[in-house]
Amino acid sequence: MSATHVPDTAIVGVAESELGAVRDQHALRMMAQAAAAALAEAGLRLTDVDGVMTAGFPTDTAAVDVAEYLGIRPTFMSSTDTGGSSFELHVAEADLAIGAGLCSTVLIVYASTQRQDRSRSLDGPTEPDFTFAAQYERPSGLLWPVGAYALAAARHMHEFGTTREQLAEVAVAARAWAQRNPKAFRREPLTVDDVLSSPPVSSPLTVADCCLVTDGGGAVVMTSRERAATLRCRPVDVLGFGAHSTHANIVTAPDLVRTSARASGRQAFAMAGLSPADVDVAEIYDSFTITVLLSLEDLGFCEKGEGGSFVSGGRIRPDGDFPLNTSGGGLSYCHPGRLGLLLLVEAVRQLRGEAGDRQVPGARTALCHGTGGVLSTSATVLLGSST
Amino acid sequence: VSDVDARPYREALERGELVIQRCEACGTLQFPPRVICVACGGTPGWTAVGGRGRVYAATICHRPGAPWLADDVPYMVALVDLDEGVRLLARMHCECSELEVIGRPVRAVVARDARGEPTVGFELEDAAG
Repeated sequence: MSATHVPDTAIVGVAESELGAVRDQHALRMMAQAAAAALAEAGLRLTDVDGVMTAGFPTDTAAVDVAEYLGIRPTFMSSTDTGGSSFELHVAEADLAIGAGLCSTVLIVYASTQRQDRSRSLDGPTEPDFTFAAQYERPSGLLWPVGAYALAAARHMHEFGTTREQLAEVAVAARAWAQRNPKAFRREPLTVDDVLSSPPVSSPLTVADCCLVTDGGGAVVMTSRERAATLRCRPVDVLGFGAHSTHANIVTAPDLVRTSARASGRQAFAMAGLSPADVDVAEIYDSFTITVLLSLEDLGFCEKGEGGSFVSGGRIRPDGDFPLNTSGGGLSYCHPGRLGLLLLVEAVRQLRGEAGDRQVPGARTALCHGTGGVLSTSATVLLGSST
Repeated sequence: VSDVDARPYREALERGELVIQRCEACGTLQFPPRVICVACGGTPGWTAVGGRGRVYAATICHRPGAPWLADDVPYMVALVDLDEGVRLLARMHCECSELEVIGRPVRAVVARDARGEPTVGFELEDAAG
């Protein structure tokens, strides 16, 4: 299936909430603070917003509850939840809704205080006992979600000869970028040996192969390109998007090393009329080091099985020739349970030339790729500077 | 009521047997079990399987996935492709590393886990003893 849609929207404001280890905060407050900052960038007010999208907020009617706290009465709302990739999918939903005239200005917003709450565990979420997870995964003792990614890492090493050192390079490069980002949570030096000698969690993955557990969140404001041109801001155009889901639980994954990123990326590139060679900066979900290798291959930046050699030799470190996860990513900058929104924030800053010490010179096209669940969902967004 | 899809599977485990679904209309084998066959929409029945297969992927858990597993750490969990063509996630009883075990032939062992629940696990075909 190939989409015939042509996006006609832009991102006109982005912001992070308070990040890292917050105190005396809750998710609604943090979302409100990020929303206000993102709207201020765009020269807009809360009363201009008529579309609200969020995910990962712990009520059944997430977007409704968030809109209420913000005093917004939206004509379009989405609580679509595909895990960490939700916000890339929200960009797609927002573009379609704005294009259809259902709303004019969409706020995509997320925040979590999971570090403050100590709410993330390796047991995974508690689900109803009729689910596949409860019936056929929990009895095995697999850690969630890290165990599923460890299975994929082991399979990748088996099938393609990928090494532990190559996986570690993803974490090392992320740390080197984080050292250029004053907002990054972990900035002390990290070596490949450090990653390999970290305590194992779910072999072959160690603690240092795993993303941070931090508080944090952010907001993205979208409107039509026509309206964006009237605002006092530097719009970043939405060029293409795609999504795909292959499974929810790892026991039904068709293939652990060929993921939904393939179809998601292919759709996004086709919609944008671009190819991987056109991407100047890539923000790719790094829940675990293996997630990045799989995504690089499946998005077409290298051949299947060659992710390990692709990231070697400093290619993805600062000053390498493939700028990847320039904020420091979920591995070193911030991972508030769902990273996808912060991927968009960093990409927009890079395309506006506002990324300070970590700015990729002349970046004009960016890719944001979210992964949700246990390699379950993918959503890809291509963005371009309109100047 | 909530485990109605799994009841025949669990009852078989109680007898020390492993069963999976086989569609009565199109013959497609299916795991995990559902009320319909996802290939044709037909009604699945049940069939015993031999329990032999190969390890597709494996990991060693260095922290317990649940409180009742605290005394078992470290332990291995594997995705096993049964010869019949379906994939199971289960404990893998062996002393080798997660990389050494991938691709090797295994057989199912039904035993009670630390909670007293009958659970399927796997061991190497060529394991000594």
